[in-house]
Amino acid sequence: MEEKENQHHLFHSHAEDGSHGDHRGHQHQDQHQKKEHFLEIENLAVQYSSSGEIIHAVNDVSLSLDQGKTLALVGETGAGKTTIAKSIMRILPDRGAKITAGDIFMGDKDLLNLSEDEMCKVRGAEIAMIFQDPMTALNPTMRVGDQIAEVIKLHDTITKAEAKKRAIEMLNMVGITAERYDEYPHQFSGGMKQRVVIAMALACTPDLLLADEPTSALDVTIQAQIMEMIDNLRRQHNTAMILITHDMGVVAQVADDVAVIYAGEIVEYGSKAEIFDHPTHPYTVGLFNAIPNLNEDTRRLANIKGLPPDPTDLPKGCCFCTRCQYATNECSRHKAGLERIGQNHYSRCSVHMHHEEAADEQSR
Amino acid sequence: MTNTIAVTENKAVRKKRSQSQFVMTMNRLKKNKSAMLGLFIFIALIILAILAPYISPYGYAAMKMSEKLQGPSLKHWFGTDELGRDVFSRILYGGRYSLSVGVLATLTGLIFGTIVGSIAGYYGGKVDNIIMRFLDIFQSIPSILLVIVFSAAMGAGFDKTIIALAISMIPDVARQMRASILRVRDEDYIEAADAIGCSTFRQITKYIIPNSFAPLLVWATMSVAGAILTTASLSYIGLGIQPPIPEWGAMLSGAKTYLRTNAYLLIFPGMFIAITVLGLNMFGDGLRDALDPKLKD
Amino acid sequence: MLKYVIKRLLWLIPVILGVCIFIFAIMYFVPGDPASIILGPSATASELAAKRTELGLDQPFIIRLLTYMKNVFLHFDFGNSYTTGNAITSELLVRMPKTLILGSVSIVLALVMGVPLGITAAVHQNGLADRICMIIAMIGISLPDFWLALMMVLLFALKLGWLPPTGVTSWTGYIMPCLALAFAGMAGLARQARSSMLEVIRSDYITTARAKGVSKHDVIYKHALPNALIPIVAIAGSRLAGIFGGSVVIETVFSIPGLGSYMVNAITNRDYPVIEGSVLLIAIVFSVVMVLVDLVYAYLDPRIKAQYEGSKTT
Repeated sequence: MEEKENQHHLFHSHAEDGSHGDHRGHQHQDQHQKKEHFLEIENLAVQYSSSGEIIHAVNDVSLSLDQGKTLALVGETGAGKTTIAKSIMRILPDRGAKITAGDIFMGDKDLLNLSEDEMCKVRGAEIAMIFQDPMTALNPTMRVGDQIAEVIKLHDTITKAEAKKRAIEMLNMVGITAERYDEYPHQFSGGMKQRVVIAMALACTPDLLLADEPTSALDVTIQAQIMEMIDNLRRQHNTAMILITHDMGVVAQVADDVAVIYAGEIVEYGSKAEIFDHPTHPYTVGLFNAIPNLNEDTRRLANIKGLPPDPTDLPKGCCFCTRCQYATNECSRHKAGLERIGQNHYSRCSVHMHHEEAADEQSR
Repeated sequence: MTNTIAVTENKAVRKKRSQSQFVMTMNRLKKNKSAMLGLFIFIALIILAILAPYISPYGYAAMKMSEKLQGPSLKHWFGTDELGRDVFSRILYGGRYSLSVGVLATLTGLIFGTIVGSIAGYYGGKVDNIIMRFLDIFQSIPSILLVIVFSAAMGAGFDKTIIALAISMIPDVARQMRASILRVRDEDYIEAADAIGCSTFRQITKYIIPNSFAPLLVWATMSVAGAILTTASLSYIGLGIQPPIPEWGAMLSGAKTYLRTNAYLLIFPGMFIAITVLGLNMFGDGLRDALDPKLKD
Repeated sequence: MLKYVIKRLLWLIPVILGVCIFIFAIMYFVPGDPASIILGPSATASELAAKRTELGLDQPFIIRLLTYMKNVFLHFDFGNSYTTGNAITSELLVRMPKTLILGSVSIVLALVMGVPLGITAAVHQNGLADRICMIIAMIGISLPDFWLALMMVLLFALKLGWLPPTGVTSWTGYIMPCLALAFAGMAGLARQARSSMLEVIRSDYITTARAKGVSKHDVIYKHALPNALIPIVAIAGSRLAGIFGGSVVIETVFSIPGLGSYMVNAITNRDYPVIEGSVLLIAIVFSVVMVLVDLVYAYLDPRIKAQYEGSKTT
């Protein structure tokens, strides 16, 4: 195994379980140094509480992103991807959700320590979000154009007429004619509604765009269209993007870096090339194996046996070991940290690596 | 070299997923303290009513003019009325009338409303139209007025009040049943049932009604509460059930003139009505929350 | 939108006609002989027969129905009372204002107190304000309105002497009746407002609004509230029905000379034309109010507005 490098110390997570108590007020040593990356999430932990049980949704997640780049957050439903995005924007439900540890820095802002008023100024203007279900994302009793004009007017001191003009521009940019400004959401189809959502998100040219499965709820035929539109528009303004998805095809198209999330933890992280060409974590390998191969003739699709762990009762050791074919006794006792295994490649599993290396050796 | 560990499923997860809808609802309901309290109150009152002949110290018609209009005391816990009857005993017996009117009226309304709604929903077309127009007219009159009109036409009395109340409930039940049927009728499993030769009647009874059950259950609870209130109002204005029968509303009606002098005659029956209805409402709320838990947190 | 208003108003006509036929039919089948009610037990057989002819009681049902409807709708003549022999119409007109005042003040009170109460409870969900509001609301829907009225009279009139126990000779006489009548309606509206608001707050578009940077206050009052009002208005109709119906009994408690007490006296005296007339009148007023409620609902919900503006979905 290569030695850990200090430069990317951020990705070494602590081996014990994730509850550090409330860290949000503590002074981070690097706070006065210029941050290396535009967006840095450090040791984020988020809990939900429901009917007396505590759900550990996100456990010790650290990520970074440079301006203008795209990070794909991949994982199955319930892994914690949306929670991470909502934590960045601090729009988790007030009741029942709590950020229990970690820091999030964007530019020179310490997001978790901003006041609610300051955070309101950031939302919509510097960070924006596109949601998964366009059918319910728009206010049914407000005209579509006004909903876009609202976000413009919130973050810019301009007249109503000016805001309306810019809103119409945004509508045009997403391919909707100005005549439809006064219409209501129920008069739009799913794809058109998503375009409105995109227009709303990009209206104030944010620095960071959080796209939560923006095409999952749409027809296959327009998925590509919408994804392309999002990518083009954000490139125009050099907006960084965190794309949440479980569609590896989309990842291949638009991502620069990929982070694989399982049971609220990052299990593998790296550049797109590294992850696609050399997946090391057994979960990542499983995900790729599950993609049907059009060139092969198979009876059954490969899947990963078993189920994700119960988030109210996470295991002590590796979260994946009960489903893993390479698991050792050590795995169930000791949770590994994210180790650097390549130039821009980190993984939480060394067992598989060893296994592959050994297999390589044997086959020589 | 690696060892493989047998794959074991998380036992707790497996257990959770195998509980049926009904059991889950019951569990949620049991956890709801106010719902359980409401149920307890209602059942306690039913038990008191059933046991009235055995536990009440006096008969409900036993008059003793020498002891009339006495305030609450050890001998007469709730005092005596203008004819020397023991108020506490009358309240216990009165529970039998007030409670049973509510329950019987609701049951009758449910049965007939279900029939009407099922016919409208299942056959559709002209039949549906005609029935819906009728229901529209029914619902253009505030329901209490409707009950008053029927009661005024039929006169006061236990059975007549039940009929009047039941008739006023039919539109609501019919609409709900019809909506359920319209929703369920187009589902695939009904088509499948048709395909295997399942008769209309069987389809309605075996598939449609069980699936429309849940919201009607909540409605029924609230409806018994409403019926008890309406009966009390009816009795107060001279319909419903009249004295000497100790229905709680009738007791209030008989005590009208004593507000200034013997207020306790009016406080106790009204309190019992309120407690009964409160219990039912608390339980009904809990039932609604248990059936549709999203709304709770 | 205008199309919808007209459509809705036109629909009133068949409904009112239907209600009239319905009430007449019920009263028609009531057992008993009106002639003997009017003339009393001492009337002779021939007097009774003459009276019956006079009242048109020997005519077939249809003729009697059509005559009644003609009188009511074309001449505003509701007939004569069995007990007093006086024209019902004039009595109805004299009594109607008092009932209207009672009803409208109660409705306004219920709305103005109930809806904000429910919204406050929703906004402070599970907090102290929420629990208190909901306990009050729960009690409110459980108390018989006339009993609440009696208790209020006991306390405020008889014990404290602040308000008059009966009658509406001065405006203070309306305070307790209106409060008693409004209380249940207020409680029901508060509960509905709360659950409506909670459901809306949980919606995705509220998260979208927060993500845009809208302040918490504006999220609730500019985004959530307009949407929450829609189901509230839908429910308001049945709450209002309760107020219309409840007014009958409340008038009895407070001896208010309105339509309700007129009806109740008629019930005791088996004065069926009076019952017919007053129920019909109340039903007409109620239907008109329901049309207004429907119009407000259509105004609030763009999905209905758009239906009548003929826009298409693409």
